[in-house]
Amino acid sequence: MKIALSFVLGLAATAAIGCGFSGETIDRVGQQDGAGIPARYATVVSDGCTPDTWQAAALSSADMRRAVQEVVLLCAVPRANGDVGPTDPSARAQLSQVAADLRQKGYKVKLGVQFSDETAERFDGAQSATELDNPTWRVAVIASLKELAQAVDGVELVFHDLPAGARADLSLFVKELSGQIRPAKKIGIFAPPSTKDPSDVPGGAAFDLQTLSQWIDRVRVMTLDYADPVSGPTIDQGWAVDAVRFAQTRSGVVPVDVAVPLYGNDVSFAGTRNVSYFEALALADEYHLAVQVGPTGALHLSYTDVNGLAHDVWYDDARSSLRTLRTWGPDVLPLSVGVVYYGLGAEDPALWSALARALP
Amino acid sequence: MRRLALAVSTCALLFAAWPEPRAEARETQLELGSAFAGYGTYMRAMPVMSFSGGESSRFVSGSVPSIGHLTLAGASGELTMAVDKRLVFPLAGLGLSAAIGESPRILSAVDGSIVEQRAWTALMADVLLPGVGVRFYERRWMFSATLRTGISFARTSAAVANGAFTEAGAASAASFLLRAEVAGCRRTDPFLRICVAVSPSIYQFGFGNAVTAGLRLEFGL
Repeated sequence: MKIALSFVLGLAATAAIGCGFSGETIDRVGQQDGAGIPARYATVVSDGCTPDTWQAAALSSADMRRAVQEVVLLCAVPRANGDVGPTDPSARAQLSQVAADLRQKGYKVKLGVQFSDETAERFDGAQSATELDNPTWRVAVIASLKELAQAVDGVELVFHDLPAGARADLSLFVKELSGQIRPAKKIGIFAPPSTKDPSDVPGGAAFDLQTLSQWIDRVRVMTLDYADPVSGPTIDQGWAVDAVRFAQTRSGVVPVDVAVPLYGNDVSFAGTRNVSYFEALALADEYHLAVQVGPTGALHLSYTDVNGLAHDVWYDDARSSLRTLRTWGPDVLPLSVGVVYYGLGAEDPALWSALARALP
Repeated sequence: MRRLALAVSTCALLFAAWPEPRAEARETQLELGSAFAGYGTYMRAMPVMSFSGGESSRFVSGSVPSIGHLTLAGASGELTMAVDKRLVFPLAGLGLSAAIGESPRILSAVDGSIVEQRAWTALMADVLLPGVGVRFYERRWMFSATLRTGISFARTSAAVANGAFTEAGAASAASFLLRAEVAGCRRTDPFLRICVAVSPSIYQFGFGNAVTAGLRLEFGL
């Protein structure tokens, strides 16, 4: 009897004392389909007309050429007078040269057209709506885009914060542009990551994807800045799936891309600032911070700057980005869904080699 | 091959120990008894489980992969009927066990969302159904071999990622249970035996997937 009681008590004590988390995390995301990631049509977005030396080196690497098929240069900016910058011949010649170099490396090249103000840093949705409503402005911009598009394989339209009232004018603009440059040149559109109708994101109501899909060749769902304006990861994998699925219900047979951020965000009461992978590493080093891993796999830092302002930084490394890609097996997102990597130059440089290895 | 050998040896043991027919008829003796056990179980591989969870942003459900091997400890109670002291029929029972030791966190994905399984929260319930076995005696010692059926339920707590936060969920699975048991018991008084029992599972979330060992107190047989 005593032996039995001792045994039972021993088991209970073991259970009480020894239970818990070992500290080990086993990553089986996507393991059902093997450790790799599914092959999808991949695009990288470079902010600017000319990749800097770092970006250029990445674009030249064999790894990136294996992992990415298309480059979008966020370069063109329509002006209030109907011009589309860059306008000076030197800049246009440089753009043509960059596009030719990239094509020689095997990429398709698209011209990103940011409907921002002239600084190309600030989006004024109300101004864009007024411009889209103006037939003269539309004709002038489309003529300029037609000329600029000669050097590339197509254009990608980027609108932010458009009011819902611009919905019909946006569709009309895309229809008119399509009539001028398709099918020789492709048209893509960067769409807000709505997950329902009416749209649950700012500017989403202006995009009538069902109508637009008649005149575009690809929808890039901008599944970025998930937590904005508060602190949090730049993407939530499940939310991105919902946004892509919603876009697919509207866009019909037009291919859809899911966006993967290459940058991180540093959020404080002063606002949100984009940070690169290396900037995040430098912050961790400068402030002697332990890097946390969030529920989605994104990396996380918290620090107080020299002015006493508290910051939260969320960013990705190669490992977390690959985990994100692995969550989207073919059973979740069909292989027709592409990936658009946003923010070339801000990523963990190990990403491209890791991607190249993980691809089938 | 090992699984087959295990099944064959269990059957052979039952056959060899089966009581021989007696020449003269006599009245059949039925006895009811109960038993309580403390035991430990080693599961070679926990099963693929069904997960459901998440509320505020998106509700997801689907399969999550095995959390791997696991050691559990628990207690059980059961009712048994003996016929002529040699033939024994376990009638019904219930075993409850929980993971012991330190276990990892397992990340997987369900419908595009990251899901975290917490292996250290694993619980298992074995609903023991009727079986059959034999006993033989040597003075105050008794030895038995039993084959019994049941249903096993396994559960772990889990969470689905929602940006910087997680939302609660659970993963669970059920399986038919076929278990062989050999036990050696010593009677300590007219109503109590203490037994050491070893029970390899012929089938429990897979063939030859688990072994249970423990101490059992048997009353009244």
